[in-house]
Amino acid sequence: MGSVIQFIKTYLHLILFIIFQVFSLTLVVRFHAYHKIFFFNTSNDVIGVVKTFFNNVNEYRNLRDVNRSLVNENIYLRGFLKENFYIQTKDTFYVNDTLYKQYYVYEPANVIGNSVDKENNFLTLNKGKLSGIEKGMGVFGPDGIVGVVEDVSENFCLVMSVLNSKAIVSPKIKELNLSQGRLVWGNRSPYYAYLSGVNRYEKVKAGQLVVTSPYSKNFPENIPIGVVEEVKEIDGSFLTAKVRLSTSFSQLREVYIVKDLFKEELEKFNTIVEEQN
Amino acid sequence: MKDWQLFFLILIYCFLVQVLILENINVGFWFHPFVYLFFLLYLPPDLPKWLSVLVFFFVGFVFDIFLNSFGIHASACLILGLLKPFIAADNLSVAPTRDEEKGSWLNKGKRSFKIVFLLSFILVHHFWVFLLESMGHDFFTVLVPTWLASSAITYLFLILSEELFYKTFKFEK
Repeated sequence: MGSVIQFIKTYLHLILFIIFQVFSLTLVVRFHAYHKIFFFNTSNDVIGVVKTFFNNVNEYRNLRDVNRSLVNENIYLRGFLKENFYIQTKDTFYVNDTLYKQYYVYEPANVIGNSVDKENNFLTLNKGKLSGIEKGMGVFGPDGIVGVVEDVSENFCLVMSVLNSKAIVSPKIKELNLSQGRLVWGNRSPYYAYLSGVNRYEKVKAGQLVVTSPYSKNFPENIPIGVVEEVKEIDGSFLTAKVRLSTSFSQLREVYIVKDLFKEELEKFNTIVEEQN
Repeated sequence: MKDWQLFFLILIYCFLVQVLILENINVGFWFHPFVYLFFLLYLPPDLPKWLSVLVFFFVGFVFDIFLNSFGIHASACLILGLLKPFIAADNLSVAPTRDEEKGSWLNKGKRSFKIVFLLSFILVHHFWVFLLESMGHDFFTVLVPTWLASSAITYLFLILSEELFYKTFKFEK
């Protein structure tokens, strides 16, 4: 304390000088418009330079945090991109009719994964268990059949395409009303499949329409499959026809999943048949 | 006449000349003398430093009020108030005192000291006042000529006033 008083005593004149000088200059700035403007302009310039410098330093120092926040923001905004969404519509089409009892309902879906150039091609659709999709359901597009649901997750399903060596479809030649044989994907062209096991005496000709058979387990009747392009005779009593598929698999976007409302009932019969055999 | 009476008289004189005369007549574009320095610079040199700062500030402040220049003269006087005790004490300790000679304390040291002291203090004071007034505008065209001319006038006024006061009114110790 003593040293403080001693200090003040020694430097009293200097302390007074500083205090009064600050006071005087404050008065100058306070009471003179020109000085006021000059002072504030100058001080703003100086403060601006100093603040800009510190701001730059701070900005550089905060780059890591800024980067992190930008990354987080990017992730957040990316979440809103259209590509990240699939449309989960609940508008399953039901038909109410007192005379006709509905057999099938259709669930619209989008193709989100597709392949046409492999030996066994599959599609991925944006509908899954939550939309009531089950294994074995048929899938067709605006132009014709597409495949059969092979596996189901919560939100998605995997469809075995017609363009798959294991895919077998029960066909019907519409003009002849002939449900016979089977349709398999023979070569590796996404445009053609082969109709086989049809009696060679049936009048199968090029240009005839091939649709799904009423015996099909997965599809309603009369969904287009393709058009007979060429008839080949093989194996004596059976003929084989080259069918140009109506569905353009490489451009497939919108499809419908077929829900068979009587599937359980029919499966019960199937198990009896299997037991009998 | 006592010390304080003399300085009171000088203060009144300075006030009258500065505020009533010089403020109301146009001496000339370059001439803005501040003759109240006569009072401040001729104050006794043995004032305590803190008192010197205080007195200089208040005198400057009072003239600020009358000259309508808030803070400018107070600021300039403060600089003189801080420096004066050091320089005056320095001069008095070095120079032999000539007690026989009546007059201001400035006459007690070397002759040259008086001129240098007065001129340098006047120049510092005037420069600071003009600089604060103009904020550096027209520095070489207006500020410097005004500064030098006004300082010269002030110096002359101080010398003449000293003659008037220290010769007319006998200084008593």
